[in-house]
Amino acid sequence: MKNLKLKAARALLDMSQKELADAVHVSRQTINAIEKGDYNPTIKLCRAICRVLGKTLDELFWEDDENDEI
Amino acid sequence: MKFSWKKNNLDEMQEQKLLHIEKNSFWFLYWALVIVILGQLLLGATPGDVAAELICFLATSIFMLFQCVRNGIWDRHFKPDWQTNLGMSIAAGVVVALLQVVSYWLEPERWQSLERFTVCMVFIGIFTFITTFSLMSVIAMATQRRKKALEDGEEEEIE
Repeated sequence: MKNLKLKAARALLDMSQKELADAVHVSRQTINAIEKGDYNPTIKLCRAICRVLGKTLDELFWEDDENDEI
Repeated sequence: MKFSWKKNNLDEMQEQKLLHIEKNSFWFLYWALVIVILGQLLLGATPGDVAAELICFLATSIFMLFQCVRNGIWDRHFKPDWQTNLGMSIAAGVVVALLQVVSYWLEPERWQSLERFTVCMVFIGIFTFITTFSLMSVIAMATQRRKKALEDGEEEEIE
């Protein structure tokens, strides 16, 4: 399941995948895999991403029936 | 060239992928070693000729077994019950007996007669079955005890 919320939050701050990856000390392929839904990050990495993007865990990673994840 | 045991150049996803690659490589190597040992023994090598391979194989197997028991882990699919032990022990006995058949087929002159070979094959098969069943029963019991001890561990108080 793609994580479009993460992609949107990143785009809102005009950050590239590489910039976000550098900020949370992972590789760009990891951020790409998270956005594509190919990798489930650990809670530690989720928190680091939320901190950098200024969002809460719920806002970026919570899944419900009406979320925008495909 | 900078090298440090403490610093990990991989992130968590790459680490998981590397662990997956290492797991697959380990199992390939493990079963390849089994095939190499059995192949050499069937082709007439003595246990002394394959001593190095046998030591590596047994050390790895014993290490894995010890670590699994210590962590209360038996298997992904099978449960530590008598049905599993019985099934696996019968399979072990049959495989060992079949290896004897292959050995006879490759070198029939090693055996004085077909009757003598048949008695040996049946005896080795039954001996393997009994040994495997006994060992598996003991290990299953130890694993279950350890699992229970880990499950019943004290919960840490939050201050």
